[in-house]
Amino acid sequence: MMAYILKRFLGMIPTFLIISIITFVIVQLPPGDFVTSAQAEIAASGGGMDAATVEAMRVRYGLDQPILVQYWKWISGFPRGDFGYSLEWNAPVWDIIAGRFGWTLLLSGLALVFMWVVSIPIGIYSARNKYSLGDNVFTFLGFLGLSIPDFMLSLMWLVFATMTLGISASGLYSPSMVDAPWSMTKFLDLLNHLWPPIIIMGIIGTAELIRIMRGNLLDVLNQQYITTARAKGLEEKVVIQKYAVRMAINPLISVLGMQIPKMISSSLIVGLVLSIPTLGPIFLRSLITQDMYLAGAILLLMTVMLLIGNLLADIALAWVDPRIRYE
Amino acid sequence: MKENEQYLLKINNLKTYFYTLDGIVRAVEGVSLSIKPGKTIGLVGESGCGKSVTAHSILRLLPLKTCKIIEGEILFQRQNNHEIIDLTKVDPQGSLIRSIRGKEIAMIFQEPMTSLSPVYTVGNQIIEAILLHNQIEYPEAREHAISMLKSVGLGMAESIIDEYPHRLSGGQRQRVMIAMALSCNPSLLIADEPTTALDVTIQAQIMELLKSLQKQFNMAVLIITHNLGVIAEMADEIVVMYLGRIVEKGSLEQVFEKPLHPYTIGLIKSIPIIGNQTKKRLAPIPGSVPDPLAVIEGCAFRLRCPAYKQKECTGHKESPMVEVEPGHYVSCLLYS
Ligand SMILES: Nc1ncnc2c1ncn2[C@@H]1O[C@H](COP(=O)(O)OP(=O)(O)O)[C@@H](O)[C@H]1O
Ligand SMILES: [Mg+2]
Repeated sequence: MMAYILKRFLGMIPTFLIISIITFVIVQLPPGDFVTSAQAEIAASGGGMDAATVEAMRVRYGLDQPILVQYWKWISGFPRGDFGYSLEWNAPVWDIIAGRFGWTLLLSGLALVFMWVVSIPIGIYSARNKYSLGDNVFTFLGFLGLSIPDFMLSLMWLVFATMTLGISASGLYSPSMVDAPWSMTKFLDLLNHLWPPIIIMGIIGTAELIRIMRGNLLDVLNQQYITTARAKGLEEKVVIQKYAVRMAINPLISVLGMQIPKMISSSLIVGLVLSIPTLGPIFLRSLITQDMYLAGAILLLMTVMLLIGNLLADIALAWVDPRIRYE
Repeated sequence: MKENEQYLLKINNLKTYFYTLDGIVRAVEGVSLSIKPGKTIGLVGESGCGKSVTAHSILRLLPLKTCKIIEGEILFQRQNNHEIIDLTKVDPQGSLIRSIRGKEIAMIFQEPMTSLSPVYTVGNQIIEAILLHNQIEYPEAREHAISMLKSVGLGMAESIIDEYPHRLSGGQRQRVMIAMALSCNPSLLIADEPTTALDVTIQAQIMELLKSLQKQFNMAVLIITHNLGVIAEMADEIVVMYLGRIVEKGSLEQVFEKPLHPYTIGLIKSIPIIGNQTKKRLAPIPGSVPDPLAVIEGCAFRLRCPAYKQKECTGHKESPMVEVEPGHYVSCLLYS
């Protein structure tokens, strides 16, 4: 098992390098560079920069060097934990994104937990009561959930909360709480701002997982070993939990690997709409200003999360399924 | 009641129907048979004739929503006080049937590859059954499981007990299933096509094993098969089924030496004989099993029956079950 994990881990390094190159190229793709967009912004506010200043800026940021050199400077810092320097914020990239990275992980993680906790019991119920009223209701709600994109739901929640409920729905805290010292009230206020985005992020995945869980379980319930378990004299509850659900969950773990990147990108979008300090808002800003090291680092960080997420899913799968473990 | 007492299991006029979206499947349409303690009965018939449904009816393992036992009784004599209960009347999820399943009536299945859960070790699945029906502690149950694995001819029982099923061959898995089934000393073992999915040589080994274990454990065995050849060595009595009905039953000698029903005669002709240079081609029964949804008036076999084709019988009436010689019954218009 350890050897397997180590092998998979080493296998991630070439993937990482290739993706870092692609990332760097993509970030460079828009015409111009950070200096041109800075120029444009200054020009828009009525100012101007002369050619010499522009050139000096380029030299200072290393933008005049060949692209390969720029790439090498950037990537060689990674093993040292140096993710580059944000041109716009004049600060190391890591200092800017660390906190936001935390919120992104927290929201994505909780959304995943939400998905699993909600979808597995519903999937089990739906499979065991196939075509019942409850199953049909859940199927309907599931399709509804599948068909409304996360940004739309965020906007709907924002409008509903502010206009109808009259409560604060954007940011992490209500305006009156932002500067308040830590207290139970402030913590509850934080929770009140966290659950809507988590549910919004989790809804599509929940709908998908319910379908998958229901289908898997229906499949597993027809397997011979279920009849064997019943023929032993086991209680139906044990047959379902120990034999059916345990098997039906296995494929969900591979789905988990695919849900991780979806949750991360969803956290960016929902973060942007609901003004939650995930990587979303700052990522958008860095793309607009062509703050390439910041944008590149965020993209690459997302890739790393995806790779690690998949690795964790594979390890979990090997852990729950002896047929994989022994290969 | 007196007459029942010599039977371990007595099925009277059992009718089990499936209610599907396409219509009613009359899977079992009036089956009667009885099994004496310690004896072996072979239930034979082409695939789809209702053998498995009959077996599942006994243990009440049929789907609750789509399947109903609409008529008949299944009388079973319990182990301790010889009390006789009607299994068609018990709650299929209740504790009474659960105390019979695996303990007094055990079952093994056709597909050894899928009969065990792939995510638990062999030991886990056997010990679970032992602990469920016996008031003993885990270490003792494990010892018992190992000795059961040894008695089904698995030499490396101590290591096999901790293996996952996918590491074993089909024959080994079927042995594990047998070990599990016999672990609680059932008075009846139902073996539903126990060798169909196995190689011919392994088939013979498994049948040998069942035969010797039956003596050792002194249990009755209901062997289900579509191949008469499989049970020729083992069964005391043979019951032949066609389309949910019993067409002939009698002792092994009676059925093999003096088959009466044209269907039985066809089945016997279609047994492959090992070692026989097949100059005579095997003679499969012509035609195929009719649509299970169809309701056939009169003799259900007439469309494939040589006697009907040669106008030896009219085939349009229900054929009653007649006793042609002591213990040898047939349901065929040629004999009524
Ligand atoms: N779950 C089910 N739903 C509907 N029909 C079924 C079901 N199980 C079995 N049947 C039907 O019952 C009939 C008898 O099946 P079965 O007892 O499995 O045959 P076999 O003699 O091969 O064991 C078949 O026509 C089959 O299609
Ligand atoms: Mg069958």
